[in-house]
Amino acid sequence: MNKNIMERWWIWVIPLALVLGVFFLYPLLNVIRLSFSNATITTIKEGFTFENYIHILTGSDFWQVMKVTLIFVFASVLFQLLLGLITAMLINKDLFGSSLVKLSMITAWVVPGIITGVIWSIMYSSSSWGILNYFIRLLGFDQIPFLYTPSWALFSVVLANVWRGTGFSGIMQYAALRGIPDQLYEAAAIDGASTWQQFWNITLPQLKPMLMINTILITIYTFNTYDSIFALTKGGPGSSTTVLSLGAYKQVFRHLNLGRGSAYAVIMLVLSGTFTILYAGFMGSDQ
Amino acid sequence: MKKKTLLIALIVLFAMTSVSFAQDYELVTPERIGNPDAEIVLTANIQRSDTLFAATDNRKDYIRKAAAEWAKAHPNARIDVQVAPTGQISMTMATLLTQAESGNAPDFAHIDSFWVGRFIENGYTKSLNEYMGEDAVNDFYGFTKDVVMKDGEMHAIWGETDARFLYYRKDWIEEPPRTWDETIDVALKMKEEKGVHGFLAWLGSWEGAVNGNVWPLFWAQDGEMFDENGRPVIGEGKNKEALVNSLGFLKRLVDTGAAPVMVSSITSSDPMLAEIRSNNVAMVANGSWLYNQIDDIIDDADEKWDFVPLPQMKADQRANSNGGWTWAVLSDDPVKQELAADYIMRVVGNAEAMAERAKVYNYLPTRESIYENDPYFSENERMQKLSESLEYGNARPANPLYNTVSELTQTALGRLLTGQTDDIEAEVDEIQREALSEWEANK
Repeated sequence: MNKNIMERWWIWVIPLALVLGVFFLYPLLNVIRLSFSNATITTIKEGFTFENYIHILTGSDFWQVMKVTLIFVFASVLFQLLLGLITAMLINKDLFGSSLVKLSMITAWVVPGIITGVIWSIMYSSSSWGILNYFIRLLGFDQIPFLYTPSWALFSVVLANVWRGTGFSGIMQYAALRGIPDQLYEAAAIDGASTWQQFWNITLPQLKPMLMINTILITIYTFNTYDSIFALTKGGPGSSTTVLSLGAYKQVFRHLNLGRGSAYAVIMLVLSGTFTILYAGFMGSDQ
Repeated sequence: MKKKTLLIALIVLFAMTSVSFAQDYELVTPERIGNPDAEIVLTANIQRSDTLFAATDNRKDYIRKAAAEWAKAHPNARIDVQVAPTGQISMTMATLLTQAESGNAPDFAHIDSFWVGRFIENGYTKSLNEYMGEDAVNDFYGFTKDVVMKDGEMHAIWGETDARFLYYRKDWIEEPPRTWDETIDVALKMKEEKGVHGFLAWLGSWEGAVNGNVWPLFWAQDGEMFDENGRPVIGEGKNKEALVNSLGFLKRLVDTGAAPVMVSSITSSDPMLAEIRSNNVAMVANGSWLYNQIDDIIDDADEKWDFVPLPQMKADQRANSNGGWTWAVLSDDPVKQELAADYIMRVVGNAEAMAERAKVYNYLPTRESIYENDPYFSENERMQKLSESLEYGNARPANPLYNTVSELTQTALGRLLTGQTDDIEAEVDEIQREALSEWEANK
């Protein structure tokens, strides 16, 4: 009897398939279906249409939103990876206070996006109580318009997102660093390899699988980020910090346009998927 | 004598134990109002501020008292309270609409005044006329009735409102400005003489920016967003001119330095209150709630600050924009409709409740008689000034495309204030084009 159950592999797959099907696949297919309909929150009309995609792709601000999204994602991912790697290598040295740093990294990660936005809006404020501008003025410089010029606003939302995501990236890379055998470094040192050569020829190749997973996760996560931006700038000034995910949010919850919001979501899905494939190809199809 | 005392003691004891047996539960808890074992169970979606989760004790006390009266009057009914999440108005309203569409709406709900039109248009709300009486219906200000009345029936109680004003430093400014040109002149003068911000307003990318600072200027020039068929006309003819003028004034404020470009990122009162507290601003455009906030943060508010109607393009123009929350019955069950309507009337709808709640919450009542009959409002000069502004009240239209128009205007305003474009007409044309395309797609 037991043997029979063990041989029927599909029995063991059913729970997972059910969870994936109900909670992931069905919503995904439904969003794709809705993106080709003119559904709103109150009226779900029948019919198939490309209107949502045509409207979005030919909209006057779509390419601006796309540009902002790509800058936001690229800058966030790059700095989260770099800063995460540096932090991971430092705490891997077991320096004084490294446990506190690890705790801080996790804390930044678990803070909800809305709170991140509120915290950073206090930091960036140009009012008399803005923390960063207070120190900038103390040093004798003009205050920086963090949130009210388009380029500074974009910089500011990226910085807040980097602060939030670096902890996760660092912890992931720290875990991978702990898994690199010491013998490799000992052997390299005996062979006369410099610190840089050890990093380049041992650390980076050993970290490669984790870097790839990390990059993919961070990219997807950043594409989906809207809460901290919403709390910080609400996508403004103008549309200078409006990313695709915020566009989707506004379409569904402000304009009540399910069809168009879903089309935004599908565009995000396509972009995330494309980047994932590109990363996988670029960073190691052997993994 | 002893017998009499004993008898009284026994009666008191009996009364106390009777009450104890009759009601061994709290009448009002944060999530329930009334008898927990009641046969009739209503559900209600209510904003946090009108539940026992409210921020201040006096608000909690008000709700506890008013809700307890309802509970005592209906011992066989209870309300299960769904507390709406703070700061998630759009999401809560969208969820309520979805629930109403699929027949799962709560029996009554707290609905933002600029969303309630959609509920009424879609037939989700029930008439409240029979629970109010004609006099009560007529007592509400006209701008509220424009939104909540349909075919002579009142479909929601607009419980409180607010109005927009120009707050100014009366110890610095002798004559407060009445026109846009005067505003810029006074602001620049203050900036130069006092070294402070001349003018502040929340002009960041959010609903408050347009509701508080664009629509009152637009409406004062008789601007209209939609025609009688619901078609967007905001960018056509005299409406276009009114919007170009209004956006142009706000842009001019920043371009001339009368207002700092910082205003394009302000989306709450806090930054303005901080400047007020540090004596660093001469004029602030904001809502009726600001006066009490100023009073809370500085000692001599009455000597320093006063308020006047928002400056308009011409001195004889006048318009306000009024927000607030409504209460609507969504249940199809007549018994529940009556119970829900009774709760709404006891907590917010009848004149006494509305007046009391407005005092506790620092709101403006929406019934005209309160400003005449309740001494707190009728004998207070500031309240009379506030009520006078309600005569010029306007509500945001119930058109389903309002959010689209608002969003597009917010984006245009942000672009203009931050110098991303100087072409106001092109921005208004774009608002009209986008809104029209939405309208045609949804026709």
